[in-house]
Amino acid sequence: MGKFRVLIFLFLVFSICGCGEKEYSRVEFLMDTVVEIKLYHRSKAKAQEAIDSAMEEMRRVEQKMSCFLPASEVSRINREALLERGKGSPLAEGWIPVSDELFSLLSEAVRLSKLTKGRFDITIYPLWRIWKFEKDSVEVPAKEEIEKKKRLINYNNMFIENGKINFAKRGMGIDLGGIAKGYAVDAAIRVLKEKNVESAMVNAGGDIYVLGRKQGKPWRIGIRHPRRAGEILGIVDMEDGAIVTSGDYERFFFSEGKRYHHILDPKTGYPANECQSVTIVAKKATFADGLATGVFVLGPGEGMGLIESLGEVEGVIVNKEGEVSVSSGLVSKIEYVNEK
Amino acid sequence: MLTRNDRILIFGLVTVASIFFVRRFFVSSEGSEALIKVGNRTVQRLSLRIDRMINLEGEKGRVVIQVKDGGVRVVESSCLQKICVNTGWIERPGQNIICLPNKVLVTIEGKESYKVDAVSY
Repeated sequence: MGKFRVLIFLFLVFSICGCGEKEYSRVEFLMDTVVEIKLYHRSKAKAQEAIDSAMEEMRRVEQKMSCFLPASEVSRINREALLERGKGSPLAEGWIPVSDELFSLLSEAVRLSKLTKGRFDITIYPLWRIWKFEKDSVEVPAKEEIEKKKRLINYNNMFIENGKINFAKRGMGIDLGGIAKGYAVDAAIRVLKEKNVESAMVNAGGDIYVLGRKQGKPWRIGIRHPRRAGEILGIVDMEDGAIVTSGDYERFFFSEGKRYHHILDPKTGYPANECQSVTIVAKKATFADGLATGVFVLGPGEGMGLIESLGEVEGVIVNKEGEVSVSSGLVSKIEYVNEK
Repeated sequence: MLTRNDRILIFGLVTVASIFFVRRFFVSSEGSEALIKVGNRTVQRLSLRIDRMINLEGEKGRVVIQVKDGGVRVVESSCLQKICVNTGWIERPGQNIICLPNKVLVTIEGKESYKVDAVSY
């Protein structure tokens, strides 16, 4: 009997260490960024299958939500929105059909617009198009052009009802760039859960969701230093949650000595310059993604106020001078890193 | 008094603990490798102990990668913004350099000494 006890004890020790679970990961170029899925599983075959399905799901989301792919649902809506629809009020006729999935994402976008007083706004599409960040443009659009497009931005002029959408002005359109990556991450996590994965991380270009714990311990997620590439500002221990950062260092160009980055303020039509980076920790990556953009544009003062007013949301803001502020629920949890 | 089984138990635990100890502290930073991908294809896996220059054909054109003194960087790239070149040297497991226009990814593999599982950026 004694020997059995020893064996059982040793077995337990091994089980607690999670020795049976191995790490599986894959990196792919997707959604104009690098996507990494990492998970812990006992079975190699099941792990690979889960990663395959999750990657496939993210590709599906991209095909549907990207405004750069002509065949996507969003592109179809943007094209149809440009068409002349009836005389007088365009509202009278010409509603454009929307799938259930896109409808619920649009509703989430409107909720984020309301929270951020319109500083996160998916109707930014006409403005985004003339800045052409996705094409690596290095030219600032003409001032008159910016003014003209700015007038088309307003989520209140976008009407969504079950299964359909319409716009108050011709030339309006939607760009889910500020929310789609986060949504794809949430979608991938949903697939992994369906495949009974309990410990995983999905990282789409820094938009991250961690599922469960990593071998019995929380996942450790670094927050990028906004001015020193390759270095981190701090580390947050996380389980079952999303962390997303919006920074001015991701896509930018210089014109006449001035730096222009890709986070545009719908109010001014130009890049928002009050922050260097904003990191949001929340329950869903979709929400964290949109909120990070909105808070970035709102600026450090109002932005932190908004973070503090929301339940189960925390954040880190680096203002334009490089000063770091951390929301009350995260102060004791963030670990600062002193490097170099 | 220790019985025979107690001794087996202690011996077993010490053995298990030593295995973990050895794995954690001695197998860690040794043998870091840089993994280079173009698109979703792994082009090369190279040891950081040998200094060299590597020429790659990215999606947009030429990308030159340098390995030196245990670090790796992108020296030259046909992209417009040069975010990859400006990233500079990376040397710790988990760090990476990305050139989106060329779809080039350079990442350092090995036991993560950087202490994080991912970086939000």
